[in-house]
Amino acid sequence: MAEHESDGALLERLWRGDEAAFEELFVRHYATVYRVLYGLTGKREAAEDAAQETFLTLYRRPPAPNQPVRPWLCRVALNTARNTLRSERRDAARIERVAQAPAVEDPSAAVERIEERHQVRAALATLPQRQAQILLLRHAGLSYAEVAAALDLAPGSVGTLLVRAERAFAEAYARHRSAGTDDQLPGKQVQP
Amino acid sequence: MTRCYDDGALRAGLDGELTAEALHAQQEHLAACPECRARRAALKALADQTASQLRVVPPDVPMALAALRQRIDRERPVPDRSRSFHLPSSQRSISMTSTRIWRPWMGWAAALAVIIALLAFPPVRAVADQLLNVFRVQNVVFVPVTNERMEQLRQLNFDGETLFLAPPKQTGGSSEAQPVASLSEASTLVGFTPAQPVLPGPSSSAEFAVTDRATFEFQVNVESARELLRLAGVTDVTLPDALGAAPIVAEMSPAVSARYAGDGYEVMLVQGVSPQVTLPDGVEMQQLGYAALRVLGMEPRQAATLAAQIDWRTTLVFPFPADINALRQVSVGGSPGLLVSVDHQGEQYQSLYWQRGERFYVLSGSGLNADTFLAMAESVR
Repeated sequence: MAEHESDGALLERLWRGDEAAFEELFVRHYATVYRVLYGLTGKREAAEDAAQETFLTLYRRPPAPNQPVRPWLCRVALNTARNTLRSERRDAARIERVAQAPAVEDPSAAVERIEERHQVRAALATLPQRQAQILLLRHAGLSYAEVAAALDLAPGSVGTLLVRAERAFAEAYARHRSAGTDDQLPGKQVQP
Repeated sequence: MTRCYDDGALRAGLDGELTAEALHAQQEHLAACPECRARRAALKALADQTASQLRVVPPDVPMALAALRQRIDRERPVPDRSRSFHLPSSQRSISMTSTRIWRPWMGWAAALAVIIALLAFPPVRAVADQLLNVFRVQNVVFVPVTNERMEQLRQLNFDGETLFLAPPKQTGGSSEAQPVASLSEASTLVGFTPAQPVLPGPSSSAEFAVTDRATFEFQVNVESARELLRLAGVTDVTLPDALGAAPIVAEMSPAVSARYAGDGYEVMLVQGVSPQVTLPDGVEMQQLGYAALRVLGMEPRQAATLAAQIDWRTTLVFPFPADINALRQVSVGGSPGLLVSVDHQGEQYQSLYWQRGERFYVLSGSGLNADTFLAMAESVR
């Protein structure tokens, strides 16, 4: 019956110290949190580290059982990434693992993928923080209501804000693509 | 034709975020409006393009879970058998929290839950004639328990869970930690001035959080408690029915947690006012305290003397295994404290609980030797 159990019921079990409930919440929501964090950091390791911190917070200081879990996790993740990025910036030269690219690609395609990722990151970095967050949360799979809860927005405004964010992102991305490699420094990152 | 839709509404339609009714209306309009259809198609293309640019290679979830498990275990330095450190008879309420107790980064909730768990056990209060059996801890008495007795109790195989009719339930208040910017901000929320420790070195980060007041209730299963006494060979005490007649209510006061990290060390200090616990009427605390001391292995005469000396209304009896090196009694600014030191994989972890008046403190840390750690606790004024 575990798969039908609501997040709230799992949180209640977690409050009672039930480790299995924690694992269920982890399996349910890890990929979403990771996606948001990967979008923010542009690096697999950094995203994994911040996701681990986020779930550690869930384990140690879970929210009240009546609170929706996904928006809560995303809020914690955004805060965690802010701290992570602060230290990551000092280490801006860290190179993303090539393993991130699908193995079947030929080397030039892999390089292209990495360059595209850097351009995506650079474009996100130029957006106002709120716009970047809306974009990442929605594209990580959060519903409008969840995006609104995570970012303290009116649920009715999410569609409009999302379109605005996507347009701004598309323009920024096009600018970076035509600007050449100068803006593709891997160290340039999104402000969560 | 109905009015044209704005981009947000069209996008909500694409995302399946409209009610069936609203979606139907939108589709009717789209069928008649080439302009909105074209905008909708452009929005879809934009959404698809963004999704493709933001796509991420999915993470390895089982691997990530294993890594987190490893970290949790690593940061939980005292092995499980240390549970014997707690009163075996209140195992249920403690086992809720025991996995969290000695983690170096004990959450505020865990810290408070431990205190509740300890206070939930009978030997906490006396003054039988009071109409309202309310107490608040102001003193701690650490009662050493021999390893032999611990072993005997363990071998009873008593199911501690049965001591309570139901798991503790929260009946009021909020229990979520709210991050705050500073100790002074925390101070205005909790109504007391939290102490600031002198750190062993410059800190590179400091985080503060405040927990609001919260109320918990749990009810003792007297039959089960009597069974425990029988099994433990304590036959010279009769537990009153009143003990289980009404729930024990613990009202948690606000608490402040502060976490500091610096070069080679991390520490967390939780401080708050002791919870206020209300017991059912007609419970003779001195007798319960006597029973608890007897369960812990004390001889009848000694237990009777101590039970009579203790002011149960304000005193927390804190049993600890006498012959475990990792635990020792210390003095923090003249108040008794219990220090847990663990060396785990070359890293030194400590946890220290002490009480000063109505205020309790739990300091946990890693990367510090015991002397530096105690000096830091001393600086908490």
